[in-house]
Amino acid sequence: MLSLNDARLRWNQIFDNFSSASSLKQAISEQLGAEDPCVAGLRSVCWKLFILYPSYTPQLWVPELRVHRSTYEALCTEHLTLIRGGTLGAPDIDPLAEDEGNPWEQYRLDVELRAEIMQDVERCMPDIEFFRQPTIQTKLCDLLMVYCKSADGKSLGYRQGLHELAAVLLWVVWNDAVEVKPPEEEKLETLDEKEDLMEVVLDGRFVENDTWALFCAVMKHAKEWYDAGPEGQSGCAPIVAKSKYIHEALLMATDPELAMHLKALDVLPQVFLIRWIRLLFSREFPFEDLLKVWDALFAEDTDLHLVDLVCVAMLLRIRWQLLEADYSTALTLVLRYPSPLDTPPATFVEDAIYLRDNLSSEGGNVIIQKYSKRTPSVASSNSRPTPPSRRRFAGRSTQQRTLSPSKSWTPASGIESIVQDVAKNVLSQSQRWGVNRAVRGAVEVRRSLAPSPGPPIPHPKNISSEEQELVKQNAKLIKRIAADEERQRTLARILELGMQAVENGNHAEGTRRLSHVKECLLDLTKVVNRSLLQQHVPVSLPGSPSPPLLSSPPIGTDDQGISATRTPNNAASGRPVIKKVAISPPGSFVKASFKNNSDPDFLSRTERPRTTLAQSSFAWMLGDDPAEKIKSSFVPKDKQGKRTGEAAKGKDGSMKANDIEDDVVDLGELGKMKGPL
Amino acid sequence: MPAIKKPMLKVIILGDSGVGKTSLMNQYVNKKFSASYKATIGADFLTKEVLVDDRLVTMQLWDTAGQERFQSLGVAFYRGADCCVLVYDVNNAKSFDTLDSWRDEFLIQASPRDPDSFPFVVLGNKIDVEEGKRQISQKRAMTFCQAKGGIPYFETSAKEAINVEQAFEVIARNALAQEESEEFSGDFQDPINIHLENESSGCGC
Ligand SMILES: Nc1nc2c(ncn2[C@@H]2O[C@H](COP(=O)(O)OP(=O)(O)OP(=O)(O)O)[C@@H](O)[C@H]2O)c(=O)[nH]1
Ligand SMILES: [Mg+2]
Repeated sequence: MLSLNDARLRWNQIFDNFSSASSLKQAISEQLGAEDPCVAGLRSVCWKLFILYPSYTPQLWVPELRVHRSTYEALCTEHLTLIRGGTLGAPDIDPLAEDEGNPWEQYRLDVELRAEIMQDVERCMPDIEFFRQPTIQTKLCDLLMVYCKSADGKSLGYRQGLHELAAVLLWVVWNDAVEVKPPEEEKLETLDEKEDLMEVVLDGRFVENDTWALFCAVMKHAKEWYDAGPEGQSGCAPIVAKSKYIHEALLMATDPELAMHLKALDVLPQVFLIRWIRLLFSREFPFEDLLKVWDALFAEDTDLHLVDLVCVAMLLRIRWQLLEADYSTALTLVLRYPSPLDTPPATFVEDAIYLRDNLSSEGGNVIIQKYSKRTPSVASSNSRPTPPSRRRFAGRSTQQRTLSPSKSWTPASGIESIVQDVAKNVLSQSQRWGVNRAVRGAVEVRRSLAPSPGPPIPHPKNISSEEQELVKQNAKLIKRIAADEERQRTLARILELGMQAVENGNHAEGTRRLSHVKECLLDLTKVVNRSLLQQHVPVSLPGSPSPPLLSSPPIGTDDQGISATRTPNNAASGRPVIKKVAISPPGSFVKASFKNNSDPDFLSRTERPRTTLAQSSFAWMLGDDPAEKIKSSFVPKDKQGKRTGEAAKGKDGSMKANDIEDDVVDLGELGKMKGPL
Repeated sequence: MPAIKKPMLKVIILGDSGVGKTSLMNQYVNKKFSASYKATIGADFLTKEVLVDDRLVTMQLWDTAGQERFQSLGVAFYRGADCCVLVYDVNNAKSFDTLDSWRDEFLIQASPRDPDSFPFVVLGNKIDVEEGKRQISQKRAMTFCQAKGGIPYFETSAKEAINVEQAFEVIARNALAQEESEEFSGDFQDPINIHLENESSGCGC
């Protein structure tokens, strides 16, 4: 709470120095430090102006404020009287009837709801003493309860995280409030126009009311982040779709290398974005910094659309660490976001605004360079995405790469150049799909819908349908990426087998595979010949035992080394392979029994030899933890589908389920426990 | 010992809000209890290296939000889990009643190869709270665990560090066994290999 004098100074700081809401917003974006109207002035008033009452002149919005206050009072009476121990309706109602009309039943539900909310309120912002005060906890709990039970939040109910959004707002409103001595018997409605507007706005008696109003304004846009989505296993919450969109469309457009790296690591974006977004970053920044982020966010974007790009800006800020990180390190970085020591927190919003207008890898590069003075490895005049492999090739001898196979073809250099082709192919992948273009296009539309300067006239309907379209497009794109990834993996496997064959001196075999891979890379519509996945296809064709010499280059140009590796053998790619089931020598694990699996991807993935490929130079194709991938590929699509060979599974550990005899062990453990046995 | 890749064990902790999942995980990993853990939003992640029968393994412990149902993390999150820890509060009957649905829903989401043998561990937490508050007896919990195929059961206190270490040791052991059985049934069809493996890695408890 402020003293009246202090409050007056701060109030004037705003209304004397800024003539309009837009000049106020401008001041926020300039990050004036101590002069900042949210610091030197009144943050709560700025926030109210930004997200609740866009008209600048207090005379215009104070009446609205009053309506909000009395609305809240009415809602409290409606929803809190019961639990506060008010009358329980007619006394002859059976308290046990489980009927919604029964006030006892309602009372029971209210008690449950309150306990649920209180459990979180008690754990809210544990390091800030303010929130440990019982009166503050009660306020927080009341306003959340009112929100969840009234029209605004009824469909949502209480969701963990709402408490933290409300807490920040309450803190800000409380801090700016003044103690107004209520004139005797004065009622809200009887305040006349001559009163001091400042005292009305900052009246400490209405801290809870005003917090509630701000909270409802924030929740108008934040609500869908909390939506649990459809019930049942197939359902996926909107926040998951949003996270995917941020990763695979927005981050992909601005920093494809990072986006692909995170994907390769298998870091699920929703795992950290749920918290980042739902709490509006409240756990990612120290409290003081957080307030500045919200200042900038509310000033710029009432609809909170910018949040998505703030996430991207945050990822770009730690992109170099992330690129070097393995799975655990990457998760730790995003779940314990390093606090930005030397840059003002509002720069995240500033970056997000920049990215909104420059959603491309050039835009991303600008942001990356701004903080790291380093440029992403690909010197790109075009917006060519960089594959994660790029850096790994950097250390290799260029001589090998440029060796023309027609001059001296050795298995090693030939293979090397095919590997190069694979890399190149991935390189242009996202560009080919027009990820950047699609996203940019959609953003253009969005921008044209939302006028930037001046008071924003939101078109929530249009924008959200626009966004939905984007999400739809993105889903298609993701499907395509997945299909293509699978294709790449199969090709990688064939390549690997080809290399093995060459290493074993079986050049014909090897070349057959290698050329098929090459053809598939040059012609994206070509169907991958899965029969080449067999470990040892019996040599049945008149293959040349020597390395293939080059003839009849295939369609398309190839600027990398080999221009073609066509041999008579590759005709086989179109033919049925003579023997489908390979003769498995000891130590080779071709799993015939798995071929019936309903998952079409199953065969190729399960046959991937773990160590050799993972250790090879194109291990990145598998993601960083191929073992993990292989494991998950065993998950049957239909759960009843027990495969043959299942019996081989070991029922080993004595602690395993089913072995009830073995819980002697558990009892042993229990014996050590405290408490009665 | 041949150079084997150090196993990564994925452990997912589930249970109603407020039963003490975050507290248990922190007690185990950081050896401390703090009354000031915030409500978990979405998920959180800690790793810990442990020795299981002289084998060094890394446990990836996933703490989840009790209020969150499965839709918000998505199926992919649960896939590849090696062990699932179900936590309830012995002083809160409702948190015990929901264990069954947590388990069922987990199996649906994670869809392990062999749901019947997938390792769960049940923890009844907050046993330090005064006796009069207790709502679920040890017997009741153990009956439940037996009915579900002999799930190991521990009574714990994250606050007083009772049984936490022991419970997670079993969790690590079972997760490792699961990881290995998955790996071997994935790579080998020859049952002989499985037997050999069992002998060398069989858990000595
Ligand atoms: N007495 C006692 N209190 C505990 C114990 N474990 C946790 N608590 C308390 O119970 C409350 C909830 O603990 P958390 O660990 O945050 O619960 P959680 O299961 O992670 O809850 P969500 O994150 O909401 O799912 C906190 O106030 C803890 O201090 C325990 O062993 N004994
Ligand atoms: Mg928790």
